Amino acid sequence: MAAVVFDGVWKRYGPVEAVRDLQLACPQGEMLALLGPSGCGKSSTLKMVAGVEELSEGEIFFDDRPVSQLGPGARNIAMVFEDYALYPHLSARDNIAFPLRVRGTAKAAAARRVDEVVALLGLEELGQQRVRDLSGGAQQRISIGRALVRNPELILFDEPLSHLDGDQKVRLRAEIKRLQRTADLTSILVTHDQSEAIAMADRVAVMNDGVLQQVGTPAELYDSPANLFVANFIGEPPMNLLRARVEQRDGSSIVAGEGWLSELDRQSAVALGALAGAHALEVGIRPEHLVVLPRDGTGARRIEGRPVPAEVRYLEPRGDSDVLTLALAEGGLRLTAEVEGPTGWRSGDAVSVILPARSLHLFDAESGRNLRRRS
Amino acid sequence: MSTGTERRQRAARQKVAWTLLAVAVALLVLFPVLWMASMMVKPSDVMFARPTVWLFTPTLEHFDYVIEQGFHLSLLTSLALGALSTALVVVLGTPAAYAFARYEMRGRDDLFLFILATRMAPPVCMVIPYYLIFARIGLLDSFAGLTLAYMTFNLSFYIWVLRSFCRDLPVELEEAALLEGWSRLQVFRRVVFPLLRNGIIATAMLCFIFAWNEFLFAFMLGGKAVKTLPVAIPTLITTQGVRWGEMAVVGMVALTPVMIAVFLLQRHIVRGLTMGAVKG
Repeated sequence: MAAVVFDGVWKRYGPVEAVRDLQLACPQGEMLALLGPSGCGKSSTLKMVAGVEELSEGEIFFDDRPVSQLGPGARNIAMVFEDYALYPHLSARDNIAFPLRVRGTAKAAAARRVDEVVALLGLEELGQQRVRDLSGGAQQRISIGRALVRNPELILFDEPLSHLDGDQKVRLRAEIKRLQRTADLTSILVTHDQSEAIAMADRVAVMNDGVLQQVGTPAELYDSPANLFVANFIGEPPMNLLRARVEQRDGSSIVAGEGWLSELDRQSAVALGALAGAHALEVGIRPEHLVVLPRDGTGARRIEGRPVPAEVRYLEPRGDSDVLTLALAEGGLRLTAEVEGPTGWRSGDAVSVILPARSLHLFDAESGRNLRRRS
Repeated sequence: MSTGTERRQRAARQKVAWTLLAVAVALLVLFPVLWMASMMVKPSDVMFARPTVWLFTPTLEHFDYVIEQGFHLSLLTSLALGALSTALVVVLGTPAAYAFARYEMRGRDDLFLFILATRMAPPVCMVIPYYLIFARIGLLDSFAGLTLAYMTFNLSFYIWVLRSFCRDLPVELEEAALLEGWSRLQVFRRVVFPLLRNGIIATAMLCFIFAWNEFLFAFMLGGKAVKTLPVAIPTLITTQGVRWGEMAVVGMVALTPVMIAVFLLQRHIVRGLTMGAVKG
């Protein structure tokens, strides 16, 4: 297994720049997720690692070896595809054995290795069945078996769970994670589904429009998004983003938008001091960090912050929580809040909402940069 | 209970009615063919007798005449011409269709449209230029010339149809094989080609049928030397009258391969269309 490093990688299709100046590394034994909306360049990046697409510029290294000039077969990579790409005329076992057969591995050795992989994935019962008769989950496990069988340097997962239904998806997700951990597989996962990336990957690279936005652990992306795109993309329901400006009132710094305001903690106030007045901000707050109280103010004293009057417009029960769509009383601005439920609130109920200072994310409205992050 | 029986009876009656209708349509369609079949063995003197003679001693006189006049050579010419031009189309067209489906290159779509455009003009417009060019380079009245003409005609159609078969193949199968260390050529031969087989058969049969039925080019470019069946049949309209029995024999011979091909083709087209279903 090798570490993978992207050094200034570009991919151009005619005038279209699919990947721009990518600097990224995946340490050995880790799973790196490339996450982004469709067309963000994540699949092109994966295909360049696999060698089925050429780099326009830059270099990819496996450990210290540059690989961009090597053909896909010479890179010793295995890939797991969205639609499995199994050979439909072969049995489950023969599909797994296929890479060994191509390499001319001795029969006995190949059979032993296939047995190991079959046992590892719990595919014993499926062995002789034709793959086209099997469920999607089973097919994908066979495809993973085919990837593992020849001990590759690197495994690439290209949207491996997209075609599976909920139950199978969750089970295979855990299974891939387990295999990756126990076998210390270096792997790259491409997905547009943040829940997959967060559940499986050690680190997530968020891409948009060919540009890497941020790399970090799932927690880093959640707690400290580098810019508006990442803030908006990570988290479900997505972060509330509100236009605001910084003001000084009665000696303390506050951020205020249309129909709401919130005090700033000292650290942010210092960071933003220079920007006061002139600068347009975009303030983000996650739905689960909003505090929603009955209008009469019960319980308000425990929470720091100024209550803003609002009205419940819509409620979506999610079992252990309720997702509320709120409209601020002044100006009618919409906010999404996720609160522990069931709350019993109904649309039309008058409430107060608090935007706790600690939970605010502050972004430059123009560049989209997170103002609290250094560099 | 009684209503159930009634419903069942009505359903049965409907079924009978539909079957009768289907038989009637089939007879209507098949009548000319059956009529032609009877003419093959009907003596000339009772061929158009009034009232119609239903019972007669079958004769082989028409067959004898057809052989005597060398029509079996026309049959061989037609078969060879169709087979050779189609084989060339498959050999040249399959890689072209695959390349059009898979490779990014400058002006690819324009080139592709241009290829189809060669088929858009009615053949009549092309036959005179063909004639003049062939006359210059000595391909008139030659088997090679006619093969070339059919090949160029069918090639555009073949590439057009087969490209869509190629596009239906999941590219991941090829990428998976590339990752196993196969070369592009190996992937084409051992992954793409087997999966395309049904598409190739279906499309090639359509090309063969076109070559088999073609009259205008064969008539203009083949001359006396290369006489295909469609060109040979009208020679049975002689100054002494039309030789109906012989015409029926040759017509039947010309019809049979096409009928068989269409029956086979049907199955292959259906298989070809479901072939892309690799997803689970």
